[in-house]
Amino acid sequence: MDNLHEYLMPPFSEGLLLKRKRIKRQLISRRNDWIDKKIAVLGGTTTHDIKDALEIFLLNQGIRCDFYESEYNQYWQDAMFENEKLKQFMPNIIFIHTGNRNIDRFPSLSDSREAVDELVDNVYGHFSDMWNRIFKQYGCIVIQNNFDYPYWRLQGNREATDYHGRVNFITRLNLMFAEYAQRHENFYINDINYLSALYGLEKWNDPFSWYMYKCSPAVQAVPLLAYSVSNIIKSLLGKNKKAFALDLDNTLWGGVVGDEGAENLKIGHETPTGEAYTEFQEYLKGHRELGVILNVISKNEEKNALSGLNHPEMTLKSDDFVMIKANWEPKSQNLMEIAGVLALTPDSFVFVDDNPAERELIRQQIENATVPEIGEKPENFIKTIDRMGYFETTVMSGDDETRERMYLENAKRTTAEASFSDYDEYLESLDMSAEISSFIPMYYSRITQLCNKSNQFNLTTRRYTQAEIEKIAVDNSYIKLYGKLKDKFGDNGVVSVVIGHQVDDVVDVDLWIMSCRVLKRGMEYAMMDRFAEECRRRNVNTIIGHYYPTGKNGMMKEFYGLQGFSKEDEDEIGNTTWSLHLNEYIMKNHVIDLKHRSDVQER
Amino acid sequence: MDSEKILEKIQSIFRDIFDDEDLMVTVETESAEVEDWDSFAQMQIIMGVEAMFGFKFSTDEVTEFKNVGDMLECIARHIA
Repeated sequence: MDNLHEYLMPPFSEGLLLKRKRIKRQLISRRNDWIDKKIAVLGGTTTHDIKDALEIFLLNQGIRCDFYESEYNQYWQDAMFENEKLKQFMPNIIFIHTGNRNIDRFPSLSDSREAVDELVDNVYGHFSDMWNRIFKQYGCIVIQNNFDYPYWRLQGNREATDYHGRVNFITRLNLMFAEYAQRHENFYINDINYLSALYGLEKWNDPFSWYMYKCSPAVQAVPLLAYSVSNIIKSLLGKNKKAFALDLDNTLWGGVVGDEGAENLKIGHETPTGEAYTEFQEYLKGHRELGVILNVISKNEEKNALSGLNHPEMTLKSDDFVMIKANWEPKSQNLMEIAGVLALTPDSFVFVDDNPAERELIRQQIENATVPEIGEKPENFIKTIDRMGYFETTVMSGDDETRERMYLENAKRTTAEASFSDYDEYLESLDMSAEISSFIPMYYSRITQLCNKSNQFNLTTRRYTQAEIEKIAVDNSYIKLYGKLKDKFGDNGVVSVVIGHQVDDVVDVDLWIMSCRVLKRGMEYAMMDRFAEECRRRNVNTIIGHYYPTGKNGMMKEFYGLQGFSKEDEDEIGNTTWSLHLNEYIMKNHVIDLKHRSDVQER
Repeated sequence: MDSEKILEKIQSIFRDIFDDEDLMVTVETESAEVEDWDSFAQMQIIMGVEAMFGFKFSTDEVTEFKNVGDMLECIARHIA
């Protein structure tokens, strides 16, 4: 199946569901480094197709799931009552698939205003009681559909304004769902109200699918719905893209700056084409605020590129970009260089280019490259990129907002490094200080984010949801440290996390990760020193460490050896086990000044 | 298009859905004879046929299907 990726990208065709078995088999054979999760799909309709499509999209993101499915329309009973099967399943995520067909009672025209208000509260309560119960019982992530509109309107337009109207009723419920989401972490709305509009309400709400199969939305709309849920999940598991690599000529503006001169570019509000490029630039600029890094890769003389970027009608200015590569080298080479400087993997860039030949080259030369088929018409660029959900935002950790600044500082460090001949001298010159402490609530979201997006400096590649991190944080049998690193160029924020669990006088290290933007700064030694200190305080004698190889963490193979551990065991696939007796441990950090959090009570 | 020609055209739908490259359905094939032919498979077959020929069945038509032959006749009526 050579065209596999066509089935997996919007707009979706029936083929995805018809060939689901073959698609699934192919996706499973394509890789071996999986994130494993358990998802319960609790449905107010039949959910078999939804589950299958969701499984396929998640496999495509490297996420392999076990599924639990409720019986038809048993979502509420499954969640609300003692449910041994679901308890034993221990879901990481519960997805509740409901829609307007699951609203048991709508207002009737004779109802008073008070009666309708009460009815809204009742329907809302039916759901919010269930969410509260799930959080208490299962402590997992909840993804809940809001409501789609019905496909008929008794009063026509007045359904939207009259409090008896179903459109009005559903709008009120959706706002209440949204407010619950604002007040609760680990709760996410799958916005089928928007999806159904996007898809076309008449096709979405297909009575045939409902009467024949108790399927809602229409079977044909299932991939769109499942894709949306998969985007929320992959975002929570740190699989979002992180940066754009943008072409200039006929991508950010109309025309070729080297041939036509900056003054003749199509940009700004003077021409329809110019307006299309301007709106695309506004769309990209919005991503900058989300913490997505903008970069340019253009085949151009640098001075021509800059003259275009300095055009007065440009919405994006040169300082909106972190890296600008304007030269005649192959674009893949420029992309690799930018990825290296920013310490990102090349597949975390979304490569945007109007030239199909350049797109194809990147696909061939960069493994798992992300290259949307934007076509050549600027009026379609936003639509094509937006539907992909590359940057689905679930958690706004404060860290995201300052990420761009940190990448800029990193670029400065790279320059400073070049001016020292002795590496230790360079490290000393950075005036580094670190704060290493037990998890505190302020950093839960950042810790979760780091757990889920670190691939290279990661010994075991275990993934955690925020709910799991919160549990570990308050469990005394765990040693759980985060590390923040500062230097004279700026604050890197939380860059390292270590989790170990203690049984008697042995601590087994479950997770040891560090952000690649602080590689070779000595932070791993500072973390180990602090970890050892904590172990000694708990009268631990031995630390056990594990290394599980994946396609991405080859650099960690000898990590424990460098930390002074001895290798105990190695199996046929290269998994290794290491141990360290604490009385043999020698403190290693000498370049980072350690600061203790005075306001945190250490256990 | 006669029933035989339609049958030939829709074999690929059955093969995809049941994930069996050698599957040959005939006019007499009933759902009970094919492993995994449950209501979900039924739904996919209907969807596949509708997408292939570009029309929609009615609920009445679908509930009347007893075997593949019934469906072929119905398809023939729609595309005549």
